[in-house]
Order: sequence, then structure tokens, then C-alpha cells
Amino acid sequence: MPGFPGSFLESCETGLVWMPLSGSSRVVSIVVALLLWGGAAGSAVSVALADAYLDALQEAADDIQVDPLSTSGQAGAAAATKAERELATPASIKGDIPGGMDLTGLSDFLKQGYVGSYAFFKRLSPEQKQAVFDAYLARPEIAYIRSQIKQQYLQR
Amino acid sequence: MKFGMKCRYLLLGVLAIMSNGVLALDVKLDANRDYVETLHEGRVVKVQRIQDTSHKVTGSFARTSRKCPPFCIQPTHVDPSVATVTEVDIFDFLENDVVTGTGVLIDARLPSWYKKGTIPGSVNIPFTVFEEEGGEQALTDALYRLGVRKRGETGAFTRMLESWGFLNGDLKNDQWDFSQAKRLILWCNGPWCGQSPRAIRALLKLGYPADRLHYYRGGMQLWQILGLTTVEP
Repeated sequence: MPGFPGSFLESCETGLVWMPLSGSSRVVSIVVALLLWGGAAGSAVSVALADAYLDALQEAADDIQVDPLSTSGQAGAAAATKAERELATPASIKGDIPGGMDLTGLSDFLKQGYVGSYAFFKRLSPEQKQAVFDAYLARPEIAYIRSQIKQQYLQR
Repeated sequence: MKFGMKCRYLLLGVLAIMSNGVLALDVKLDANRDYVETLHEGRVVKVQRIQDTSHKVTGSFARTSRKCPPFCIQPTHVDPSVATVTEVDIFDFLENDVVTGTGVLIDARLPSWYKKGTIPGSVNIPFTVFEEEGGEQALTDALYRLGVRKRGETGAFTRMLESWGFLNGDLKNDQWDFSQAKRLILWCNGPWCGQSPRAIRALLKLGYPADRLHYYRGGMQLWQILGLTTVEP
């Protein structure tokens, strides 16, 4: 079929025209057709690879299990030391913060011994810090003060 | 200072020292911290290490080998312009950037991995979102959470004024305004996982400022080996 590749492209563009082309145009048309075909094939391969990767990820996820002991909130997981558990008993909580500190003293106390709680405390507004300090004056218990800090922080 | 006052302050000091000593953990995070506290889905979570020094990692992250491909060991750096960080950097990030909202810790894995357990303080944005496989709206919504805004129709004249300095074009391209983009740390399953590297490359391609992107290569693998706290979403 003379001039087929070139005429094929032309007919693709117009849907109707059948125009035989010269030799050099025919070569160019063949090259363009091959490039288009190669690009399409390459894209198809990329999509197939991407799907295969996603499939592999989904399949692997089915068997995944993290170490149960690391999970927050699990009994015994990432848990307190024996000393912390002893401290958590009601008898040990009451009055476990020294009394008589001013606001600066309370802030320093938290900074030295309760770095995590201090990180939240230092970000409170002056009014919120005063509210925490008032709570300390009424009830100098570390668990209570820490809960007050968290409560104030979440209300910001 | 009267003797009674001296005794009082001495007693306070002793109490402070005793409380520090009793509450200190045997297995700390680092030389300065027993734990850090951060926010995860609106609640405070304490991140610390498993205290049992005889415990060995169990579960899927105890495996030494997975088929490569697809689970090949990743290079240290995703891109020369993106810093690779470690666990200590994560602790600082959790305590500061995550708590204040200036940074986002991103679990870049597919939801099926995320649901099995994640690092506290993380939000799940699968890498496929940044690669736009979830569609433009999903990408826009995700970037919005990261402080990035979609630009309206930006004409050539506006772009010219920005390039000449008459308008502030810093950290903006034709599609996105990254001027308020947050600091990000992205992670996935560990050194053998390609999900977060793909997310980072996609973000760079979108124009996200490289100095606000960080790669936690250790991922869940290292997090588990170090006995650090995880949470189930």
C-alpha cells in the first residue's frame, strides 16, 4: 500500500483524507508514529509498575503488626517504672509538691522535674498560668497540677 | 537568713532531688529527657521507651528481610536539598513544632499501614495524594493542612511583577503559595520503605520549599527497635 504510514497519519488527523506523501515525509511520519507508540507503551509500563507497587504495599500491610508492648495505653506497654507505679497510688499523690512556692518557683519546679508538662505550661497565657498556680495553692499534688496544665492548654 | 528558713529551703531542695530521682526512668530518651509529650488527635500522648531492658522487638518489624524490589534499602538522602533527621530530632519536633502547630509529622504510608500503628503526633497523608493519584481536590485539601494555598488565576503580568520584585513572589509558583508552608517531617516503614521518599519527591516537584522538608529515614523500623511509643489510630 504506497505511502501507508504517512497516509495513515493524515487520515488519523482528518478522518477522511487519503494523501500519499513523498519519501522523506514518509520516513518522518514513520519515526513520529514509532515515537508515539513508544511513548504510549512506556506510559502503560509505568502505570503497570505503579499498580504493582501499590499492590505489593497493600498485600504487605495485611501482615503488619507493631510490637504490642510499644502501643500507648496498653497494659504494661511503654509503661511506668515500678517507682512511677508506686507513686501513682493515692497515698503517695497527696501533697507531693513542696508548698509555699510562688509562680516562678512552680515554673522552675516543673522545668526541673516534669519537662513534658513544662513544655505545655510555658506556652500558656499569663491568665492560664495563674489559674494553674491557683490550682497548686489549693491542692499541691503533681498529678492534679499536670492535669490542670493539660486542660488549660487544650482550651487555648 | 534565719536557721529555720535555711532548713526549710534545704528540705525543699532535698524533696526536689528525691522526686527527680524516684521519677526518673531507667531507660531515657536521651541524656536530658525521660519522655516527651505531644498531641495526637487532640489528646496528650507521652512518648517514651519500653522500660524492660530484656525485651526484644516482636511483630513484623522484627523481620530482617523483605523482597527487593519493591522493598529496597533507600539511600541516606532523598534529595541533596532535603535534610535526613533522626529520632532526637523527632522528639524536639513533637515537643515543639507539633504542639504549637508550626510543624506536621506525616505518616506517608498507605492507610492500611497507618491503621496498624503510627508514631504519636503523626497525621496520615499517603504518598499517593502528593502524586495526585487521589485527584486534585485531595491534593489541595492535603496541602491546605500543611499551610499551602492554591493560587487563583495568575496572569503573566502578575508573574512578571513578582519576578521583578514589585510584588512578593517569594515561595510562590503559578499554582501554589508556599509562603506559609509548615515544616514537615515525613516518614514511612523505615530504611527499606520508599513511600515517604516518593512523597518528598512529589512535594519538591510541586514546589514545596526544600528547607521545610525533612526525611526521617529510620521510620517505624527504628522507632520499634528503640522501643518507642506507638499509637493505634
